[in-house]
Amino acid sequence: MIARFDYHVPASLDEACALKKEYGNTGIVVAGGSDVYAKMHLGDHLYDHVIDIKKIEDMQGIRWSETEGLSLGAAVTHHEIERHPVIKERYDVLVQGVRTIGSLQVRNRGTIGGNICTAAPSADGIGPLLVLDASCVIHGLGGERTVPLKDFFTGPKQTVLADDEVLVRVTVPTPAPSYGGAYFKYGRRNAMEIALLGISVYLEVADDGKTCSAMRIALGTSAPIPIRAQKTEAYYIGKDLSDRQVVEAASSIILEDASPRNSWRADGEFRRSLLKLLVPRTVRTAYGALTRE
Amino acid sequence: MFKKEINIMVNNEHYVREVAVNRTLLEFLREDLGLTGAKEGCNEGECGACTVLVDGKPVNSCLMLAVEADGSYILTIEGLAKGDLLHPLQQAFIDEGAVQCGFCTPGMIMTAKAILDEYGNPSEKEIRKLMEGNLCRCTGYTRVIKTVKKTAEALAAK
Repeated sequence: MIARFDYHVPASLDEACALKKEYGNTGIVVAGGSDVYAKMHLGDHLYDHVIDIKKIEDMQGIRWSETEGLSLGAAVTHHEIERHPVIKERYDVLVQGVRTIGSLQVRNRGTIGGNICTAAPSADGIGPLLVLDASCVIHGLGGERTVPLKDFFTGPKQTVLADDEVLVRVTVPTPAPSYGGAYFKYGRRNAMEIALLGISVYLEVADDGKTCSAMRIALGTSAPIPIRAQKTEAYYIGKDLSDRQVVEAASSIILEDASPRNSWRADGEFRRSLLKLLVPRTVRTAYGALTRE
Repeated sequence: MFKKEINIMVNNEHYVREVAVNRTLLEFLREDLGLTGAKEGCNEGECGACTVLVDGKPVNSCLMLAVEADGSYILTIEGLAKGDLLHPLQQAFIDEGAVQCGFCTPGMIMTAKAILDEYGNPSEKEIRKLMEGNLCRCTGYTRVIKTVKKTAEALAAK
């Protein structure tokens, strides 16, 4: 049973922002509720006010064009993303990530905006968006601003959102016609798992088909917030990705980017070993997934 | 607001009810409407025993408020049979012995129905992936998956 609360359904962004500001810590912004209501059932994280924003039109729908790229409403569900034909074709790494979230039932309710704003370091939707260079369109009472997703997280479960701000849309530029993407989720079982480690890779190669010309790597559950592994990315630029030893040599650099902690789900030491093994492996998977003309 | 009037279709019956906003869809179905097929297992979206279809999509009814279902069409296990004629999935679960204690079965069948509606005739691997949100603690997955696959094939052949 969920404890009693007052329920608000703002019809506009300004109304949602005003409510969020008014209720502060006593309120919670909810879309699909797959995290929030589960926590409220357990008795902690109780709120006096629930602000349900998923009916707001600006937060709806998936838009795409070659020039503008992809625009995901914050209230778009994970299942809408995994079934979208253009996303499947052009943004496959995002599909690989979101389809590991919860279950079909959870993906039918949970939203991409919720996944981002909950700001869990383990979020399966965030890593792929980080390597796809996504940005967050934020609305506040003072107007709108856009923040790169890599700058959105400020600490464990903390974001740049001010008291009066909500996430409206996530925009993702059109990826190169030929790129390789991969998401690897390490868990102890296949179903209903929270990632002990989540690795996302986006890479491009030069005309020779093997020299790395772009590399973006995101790590989940490897630091207090979802991060980009920038030193490892820099290592790969200009390297021959068809050479397995060259790819695996990054394992000596990856720990300069990551700082996994001990948690009840896994030891930091274990996560460090996994990173050294699995980051190069995910790079190899992404290289293998490269779409070749 | 603490209470709200909702307008809802459940298994072809229309209801207009006032509900507390903190009432889950599962509590509304079980306690207000007496539809006890959907079960409360974990109350945190892990087990899937509470699965019902909202506008055709499987959801955990324990993680959805009744007020969020306002204006929706809900299908529960009670609405699946046509009179005495069981839905092919229900009949197949019986014929194949895909039921042990039965607690997870209503959720299993509702998820399976949604999968067959959306994906047609998915592979066994796809069925396993799509049904990962329905736990069985009698360890009866093998028969469940086979039964869903067999029903999908039978329906696709029609």
